[in-house]
Formats: sequence, C-alpha cells, structure tokens
Amino acid sequence: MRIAQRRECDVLVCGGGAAGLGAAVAAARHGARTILLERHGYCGGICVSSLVHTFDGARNCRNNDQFVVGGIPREVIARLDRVGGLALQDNPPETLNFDPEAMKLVSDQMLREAGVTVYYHLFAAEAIRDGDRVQAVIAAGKEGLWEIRPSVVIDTTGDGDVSYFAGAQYEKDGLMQTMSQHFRIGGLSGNRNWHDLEQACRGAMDRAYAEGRAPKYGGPWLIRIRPGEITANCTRLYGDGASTEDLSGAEMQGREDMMSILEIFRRDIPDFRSAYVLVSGCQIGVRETRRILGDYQITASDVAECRQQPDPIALGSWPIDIHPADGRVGVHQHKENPPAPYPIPLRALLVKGIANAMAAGRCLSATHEAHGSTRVSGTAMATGEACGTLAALAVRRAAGLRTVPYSDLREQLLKQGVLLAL
Amino acid sequence: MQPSKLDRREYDVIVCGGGSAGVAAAYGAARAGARTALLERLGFCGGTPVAAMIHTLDAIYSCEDTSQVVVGGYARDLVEEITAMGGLATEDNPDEALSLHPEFMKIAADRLLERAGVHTLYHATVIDALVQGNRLTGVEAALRDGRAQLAAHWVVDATGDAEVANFAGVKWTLDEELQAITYHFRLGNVSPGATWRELEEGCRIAMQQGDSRGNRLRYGGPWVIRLTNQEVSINATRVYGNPIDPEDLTLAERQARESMLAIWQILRDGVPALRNSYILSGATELHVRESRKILGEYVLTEEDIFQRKCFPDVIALGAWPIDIHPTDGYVGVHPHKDNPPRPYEIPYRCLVPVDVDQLLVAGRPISTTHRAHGSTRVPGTSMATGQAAGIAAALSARSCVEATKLDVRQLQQELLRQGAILSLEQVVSR
Repeated sequence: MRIAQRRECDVLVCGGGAAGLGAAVAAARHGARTILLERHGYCGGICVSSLVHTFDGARNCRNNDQFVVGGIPREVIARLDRVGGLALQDNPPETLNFDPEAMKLVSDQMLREAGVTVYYHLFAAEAIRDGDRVQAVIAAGKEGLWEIRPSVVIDTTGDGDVSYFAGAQYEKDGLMQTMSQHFRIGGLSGNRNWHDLEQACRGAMDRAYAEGRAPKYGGPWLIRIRPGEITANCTRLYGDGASTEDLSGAEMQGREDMMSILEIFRRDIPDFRSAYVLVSGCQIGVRETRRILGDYQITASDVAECRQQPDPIALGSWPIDIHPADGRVGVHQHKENPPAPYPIPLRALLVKGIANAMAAGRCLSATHEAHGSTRVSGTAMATGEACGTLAALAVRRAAGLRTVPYSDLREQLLKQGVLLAL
Repeated sequence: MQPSKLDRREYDVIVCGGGSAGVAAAYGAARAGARTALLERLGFCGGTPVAAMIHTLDAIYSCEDTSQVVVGGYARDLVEEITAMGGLATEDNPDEALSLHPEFMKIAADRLLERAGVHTLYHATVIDALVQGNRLTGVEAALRDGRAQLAAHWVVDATGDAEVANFAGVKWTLDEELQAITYHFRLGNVSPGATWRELEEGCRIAMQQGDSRGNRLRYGGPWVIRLTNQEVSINATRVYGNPIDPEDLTLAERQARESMLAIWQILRDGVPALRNSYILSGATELHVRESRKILGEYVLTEEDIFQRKCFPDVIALGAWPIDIHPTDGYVGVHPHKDNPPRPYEIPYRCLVPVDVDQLLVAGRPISTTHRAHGSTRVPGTSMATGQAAGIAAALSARSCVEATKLDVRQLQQELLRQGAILSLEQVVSR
C-alpha cells in the first residue's frame, strides 16, 4: 500500500455532516488537535448534499416553539440567521429550514475559528486495528492514500464506514428505509402556502399513481427556502445505500423519477405550470444503512416511553419515522404521535469492543425502529458535540473514553449549553 | 481490510472519471464492443459542466465561426438527448456557448451509458493503479462497501487531474503558473428585461467600480450564462493554488465561497436587475482549469494550433481560443476571444503516455504545452478526445497490441462510424 501523506492527531472526525461538524468543533474548542475529513468540498452532509435543508429533531415535536438541542446546533442556527441563511417562515412548524449555501459558509467559519484542520476531498477508505484500538485510518483522496493516526476516532460517516472497516459489530435491516432524491423546484406561480401546495401535490400524486402514471413515491413532503420555489421530498428508491451498485442504480432511477414527478405536478397543479428543476441533491439522500453496535442499543420503547438514562448526552425528539421499503406509497404514519423528548445515552455512542472509537449521527447504536427517530440532523449534531467533547477530555487526561467520569462530561456539556433535560 | 463485493471483477476497459472525456470514452468503448466499466466519484456524470456548474460545452462550436459544429459523435448524441427532454438553456446566451441545464445533462448521460451497456459505478474513487512492469492491469478503487481491485485490459484516465497516470508512474508536468480556479454560482430572482449581454456588461462595470473603490478582491470577467431568464450563472470568483494539493484545494474551497459572497454583494448593489437576487446555489465542485499534464508520444503546441498542422493520426478537432485565466493577480477580462483559431487537428499520440502501456489519457491532461492546453482543456474537445481514447482502448484490448502499434486507420474508421468529426470537410452547420 503506497501512502502519499501521513498525519497524526488527537481526534480524527470522519465525515463533515451535521454530526461531524458538531464533533470537530467541540473537540477543537477543547484544545484537541483535530482533523476533519470530508469527501465533498464542503460540510453539511445530507442537509447540503441531499437538499434535506432542515434541522429535524432540533425542535420539540410536541411543542414546536421549544428547542430540544442547545450547544453547537443552536449556535449554528444563530449564525445562519446572522448571514440571512434561514429560510422563510412558511414551512412545516416542526422543521427548521435554511439555505444550503449559507450552511457551507457557516460550517467553514466555525471550523476555522475552532482551529480544526479540515481536509476536503478526502474520505476514510480503510481502518487499521491494533488489538482493541483503531491505530490508523487510511483515507483516499486525489493524490492517493493518506495514513492518519489518531488517539480517538469519531465515525460520523453516516454509514458507519470507519467502524465497519475496523471490524466493529453492526446491524443492517432487511428492509432498510428508502432513499430519496430531493429536488428544488423554481418558477412557481401564485402565493399558496406550503401546506396547501403539499395537499395539492399529494392529491396529484395519489391520482397519478392510481392511474399508473407515477413511479413509487413518498409523501410528498414540501419545504421551502425562498418565495417562488419549493423543495420536494417525494422520490422513493429501494436498496442498500452502502452498496456501490445499489447506490448507483438509485442515483440514476432517482433522477428519472424526479422528472416524472415534476411532470405530474406541472400537468395537474396550476401553480406548477411553469415550474422547472432548479437543482437536485448532489447525492441521493440515504436514511438508513449500517447501525453500529455500541455499549448500549437504543430501543423503540426507550424512545416511546422516554426512558431515563444514567448517562444522557443529548435529547431526541423526532417521531419514529420509517419510510417503508415494502412498496407502500404516499404518507406513512409518524407525525401523529411524537415522543416526549427522550435522553440519548453516552453508551450508544461508544463503539462496542473498540477502546478509542465513537459513532455519532445516523450510525449510532439503535435498533431499526429507534433509529427512525435518532437518525435526523438536529439530533445528529447534538450527538456529535457530545463525542467531540468526550474525546477532547479523554485526550487531555490521557485517559480512555470509558474512564472519563460521566459527571465530568455532563458538567462540560451543560457549560456548553447542551440540553440534557427539558 | 474489508474488500468490496466487486473486488476482482474484470473488464475489457475501465474508464476512470465520468466527466466530459470519461462518459464519451465509456460510451465509445462499449459501442466498439468492449465490456466497459465507468467509475465516477460523485453520484452523477457530467464533470465540470455539471458539478462545477459551468453549464456550457465549449468548443462544440467553432469560435472562429460559431455556426460550425466541430465535435460530433457522443457530443451530438448527448445534445440530441438533452434537446428532446427540453433541457437546453434559454437562447439568450453567448453565441459560442452551447448552454445546458445540468439536471438534464445528468439524466442524458445516464441514459446514453445504459443504452451502450456500460457498467456505471457512482461513488467510486480510484485510489491506485495496478501495474505489472510497464503495463497497467487495472485499478484499485474505494467503493461504498470497501476497497476493490478491478482488472482491465485497458484503462482510460479521464480524471481531469491524470490521477491514474500519476499512480502508474507516468511522467507529468505541473506548470509554475497554473490557471486560476473558479467557484461558479447561480443567482435567482433576477428582474426581467435585461439580456445576458446587458447583465454581463452591468456586472463588469459594477466589479470595476468596486475595484476603483480600493476593493482588493480578485475576480475574472465576470462572464454570464443563464439557464432561464429568471436567473444568471456568474463566472467571476478567482482563487489560486495547486488543485492536486489537498491543503491548497481545501483552502481554495473556503476562499472561493467567501469570494462568492463578496462578489454577490457588489453585484446586488451595482446592477439594478440583480438588486433583489439571491444566491440560488453554488457549485458542487470548484472549476479547476489546469493541473497535471502528461508527457505523451506527442506534445501539442500553440504553433501546431495556429499553423493548423495536419496529423496522420488525427482523432479530434479543437476549436477554443488559447484561454488562460491569469494567476498573476490580473482582474477582469483577459484577452482570448479576440483571436480564436480555426478548427485544428489533435493527434492520437497526445493521449498515449510514454513508458506506461495499456493506459490512455483523455480530456484536460492530454499531452500539450501550457499554452496549447489553454485551448484543448474545454468540455467539447474533452468529449472528442475521450471518445477516441475509449475506442482506441476497446480496439487495443481486442487485438492485444501496444498503444503505439494500434492501427490508427481502424481507430479513425470506428470514430467515423460513431459520428465523430475528424476533418474540416466534415464540419457541419448547426
């Protein structure tokens, strides 16, 4: 194996999505020499690349005026607001929408101010184990392979790539949630609000599907950034988002379905008569792939019954939201019965059997059902912040992740404004 | 190490990179009968016109006489597919630019590849070359489910940065003055009424006024393209650096975004039609104009271009001016469109690296001088060299000959069969 460049660091964060941003900023602010790897040329992950430009899970789904995340996610929201990057108010009340370009800028600024060493166009392609530790991550980029040796590695790849490469235990459901190619539509006429437009789109899709004119679809669910445009969450693609062949097929089918769906909107809904695709996600939105096994696995009853934990590090609030892969179309039940904001335990982030690895965001340790709630971006950023903070505390004390007393982490998280209880 | 389930797959031809050159190469190879795989690191094809949002296929038309089409083959099939879908941009665009909506270009490329029978793999990044002696026997790729060694009789490097060639030990050069890098962006909610020319003129005046007020912002042009009449795409940011150095590239990404913001603010304040505009989208990737150039069996020069040298092994026609975005701090419009060449010939030998066999290089890094590269680097010409490379790889794989021993007449015949344009006599009006 030819290695082009070598680096060492205290904390290595793999993946610059919502979780990775939280992790890297938190670790570096506590003085850890932190490297962040991101395969694209910008951060933001699914919020930017897949046009899911909303912080789901940031608000209490039972009381939308209340936030259930504090700390770095709230700082990101405030900074987005400051650069004019928050979307217009006309959006579903449980969501918090923003402009993806602003998200790229805000991420850059926060990472730079925190002193994170960011490498864009570089991603984890292999992990080297030494006993119960990840000794090095092999990253792939434009000039070949890099070897990066960290004290602690935080897996925020979404698919749990680093943990998987390191031989961690994981689960993958037989019916993984469907993928979606979100797209922004411009050239809308009229002044209908998101709700009325969503109803019109649902009616049009239901009719078209019944008449055999539509591909498989979900929702549609609509969110919007600016007047005169809308972002549609509607395509529904099947397969394993951690398989290159499935993912390639889904990318291609997603684009074809996007155009078919837009044609239905244009034909059947007057507001869409002159509509066109402004832009589609630069990568398909993947909801579920590998779930890494941690010291604890969050279950559906933990979520539904708001089970208290001895080691909470963040609050989840999104309903158990599973986009069905069994062929059903339209709207699946999930928003009717949102959970009370529930604690996410630190143990769900500690990768079982590996001393120096944590997994945050979509790939943290949860069952298929519970993952339907924990997988969203607001929750992901909060779990990332906890990982970054713990990693930095451990490095500073030259201690293991599991030997830092929880009370010390808790004290630090509360100082950062993290919400651990309402 | 976790091997991908695609580990050890075998193909006749593997094409690395799904930009203008790569899609044309895979299309050409598959249609010439080769079992062909295309590896693209993003989730879609199209390369710079799509991912970097330049939105135009430069040098499909002659710049000297913009009514002439000088690239056929894959380019023609692609444009036909896009046109049938309604994916051409508004007509209100510069004469020499063939402007397309990127979303349609992605779909058209998918369809052409599927029809040709190419095994397209997205989210697939090449990380090494498999070499035996001086021959390339395949590539290693990082796939979503782990690493895979993929065997091939021939490999076409269409990565834009000659990445495979570099891994394989091919000699390459990196100019001391690499062209500037640009982050293109789209503005929405443009007030109706103004033409692209008026908008471009307005943008240039606004930027010059910003300059005279002591603004030290670096910028090029601006040049304006539009997809619809409600929006504009702005080619104006200008950052410097070596795009194959990951630290330079990361810095360039950050600086370019900040520069986009600053330029938009100047344009919003200075151009009445843009007063209510907003940043609709920045590009997925930076627009890298120049990085590695390989040393091939022939090095194309500026004299070859302007003297219109004839080559017995011609495989493509170039047409773009020598267009070098300066890195010396020069701002605004650099002279280049004033002196466009007549369509000129590009020989097969520019695609053939010296020393390493079973590898061809197409698109931006073909063997040229820095000056000639300013003309050959554009998407239309890349499609032409790509298709030639793909066909050459397929024919060589079938007949098991070295690249330098390939019967060039056979290559030219297959190119012509696939609709390529190899001589001025074939140039058609659009």
